[in-house]
Amino acid sequence: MTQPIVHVENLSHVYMQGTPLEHRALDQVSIQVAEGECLAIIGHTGSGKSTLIQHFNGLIRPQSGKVIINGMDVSSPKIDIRTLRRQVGLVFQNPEDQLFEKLVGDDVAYGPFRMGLPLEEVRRRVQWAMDLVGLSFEEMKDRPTFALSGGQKRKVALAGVLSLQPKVLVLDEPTAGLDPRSRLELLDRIRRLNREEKLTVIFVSHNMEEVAKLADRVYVMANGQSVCEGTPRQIFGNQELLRQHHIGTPESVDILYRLREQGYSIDPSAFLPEETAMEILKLMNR
Amino acid sequence: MTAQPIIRVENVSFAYQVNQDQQIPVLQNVSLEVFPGEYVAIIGHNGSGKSTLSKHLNGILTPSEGDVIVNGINTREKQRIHEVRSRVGMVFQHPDNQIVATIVEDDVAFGLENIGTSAEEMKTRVDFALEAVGMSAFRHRPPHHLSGGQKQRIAIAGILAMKPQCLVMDEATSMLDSYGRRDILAVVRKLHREGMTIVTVTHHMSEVVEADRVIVMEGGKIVLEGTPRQVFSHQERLRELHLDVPDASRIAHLVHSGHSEFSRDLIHIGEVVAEVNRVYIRQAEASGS
Repeated sequence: MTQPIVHVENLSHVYMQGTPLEHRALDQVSIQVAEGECLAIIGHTGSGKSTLIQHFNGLIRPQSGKVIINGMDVSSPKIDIRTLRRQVGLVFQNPEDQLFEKLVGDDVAYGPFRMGLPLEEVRRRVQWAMDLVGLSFEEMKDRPTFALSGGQKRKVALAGVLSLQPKVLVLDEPTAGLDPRSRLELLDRIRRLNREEKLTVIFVSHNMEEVAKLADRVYVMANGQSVCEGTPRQIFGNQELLRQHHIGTPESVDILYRLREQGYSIDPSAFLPEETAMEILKLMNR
Repeated sequence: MTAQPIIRVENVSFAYQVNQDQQIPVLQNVSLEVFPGEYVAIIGHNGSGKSTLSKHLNGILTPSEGDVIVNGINTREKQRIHEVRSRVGMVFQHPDNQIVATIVEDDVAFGLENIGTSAEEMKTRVDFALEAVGMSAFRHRPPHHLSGGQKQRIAIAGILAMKPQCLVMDEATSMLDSYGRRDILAVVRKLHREGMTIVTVTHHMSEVVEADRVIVMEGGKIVLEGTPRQVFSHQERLRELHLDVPDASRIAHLVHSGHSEFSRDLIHIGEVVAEVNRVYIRQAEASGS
């Protein structure tokens, strides 16, 4: 691996330190993300995923351990936080809650406008960002944000982050709450941002189909620690690990495991429905 | 069904007013009845109007045209809206937006305080509601330290304390992980068994297969309706509407197309496993004899 764009070393974080509610959210986490990679972070609720990614653009500063983003040390008191946030775009869970302008175009333009870019450049970036997420600039820029559907709002929020042209895009549960069509479309957009625009993508997800479709590599978090790392196929083929860390499996994988428990010879890492169907057909046509 | 419906949606149209001369139509002439004890799932992609429809069921929104009647009360009667909402309770998508108090039991009691329930009755109802969602052990905890699934169970308890006849869930599990979702589904299944009417708006096909009746929305209209098995047999139509089918159903169709003896009318994972067994044993017998 060349110099990683995100380098986390022995990172720990304790919420409400010194109170009875003290909670260790991160415990000696180390992860590396190479430039251009698409990385998934999975884990049960409360495993520390969201705390981890909030370090990537300096929303949380390291209490102990190191976070280095594209050569910038996030723990340094002298860090230029605005430069960091232009490099790392963070899209929260339910980003649609954060739309605040009345009109779509204004909301997307807010970031570049605040950067003090000339109006022409702001306009160009808004158009570019809306195009990337699949919103027609002409048709949508003057639409009121409140009248959009959930999926459309999420695209607007994503466009707002992209308009800053970050090098790293961090997404917390990017497709939670979207319908199947918007989910597939958004996944496709994110994949293209990664493959074509060479954006480094880091995303947190509960949805294993999404992880399977998108990620080059997966980190599994549990109890504030990074407990395992591998390709999606390596991770999903390991039922023990998934059960142990309360990570749900897709229905198709459940079927495979149940068949295997009944004594059929079957490959449980075939996690897509098409692959599952192939495995069953192999049994039938034996 | 001969019983009176709890909810009657009659020819409802609804449009969001953008400004004086611009409207965005969301619902067009939707009619629907929900009967006591029914479990109805509403599916459709974002923008199909399903969420807007669900917000009509207890008068959060009132129709631009047409009427919604809840237990004989028109939701347009603003002075009777409390009656409507005590019959039909609603749980929303985001757990965090529904918690108002700093202690779990206070949160569950919030609605009761507003209607002036006596302290004794309040305690009984909060006990009942927390028990029903399996959260009694958490009654003195601050809700913001709970997981999303636990928060949603608290939100449901707050509704149950009001003793409604019908629970409407607007994508109530969509922000939860698969374990949180499973907890909520177990609670809902139990409530339904005990007689509660359930209307759920969802994208998760694993929830849809639990319903008695599925309503598919598209472009503000109801385009398909039936039992889960009937609806999921229309795979082509659902694909046109960009909707998922349960993995089990998808797999059954795929296996069927390569091996016609394998039934394609399956919607539960247990059914797929059983069908593999059935076909496998028959083949073994055939080749053995």
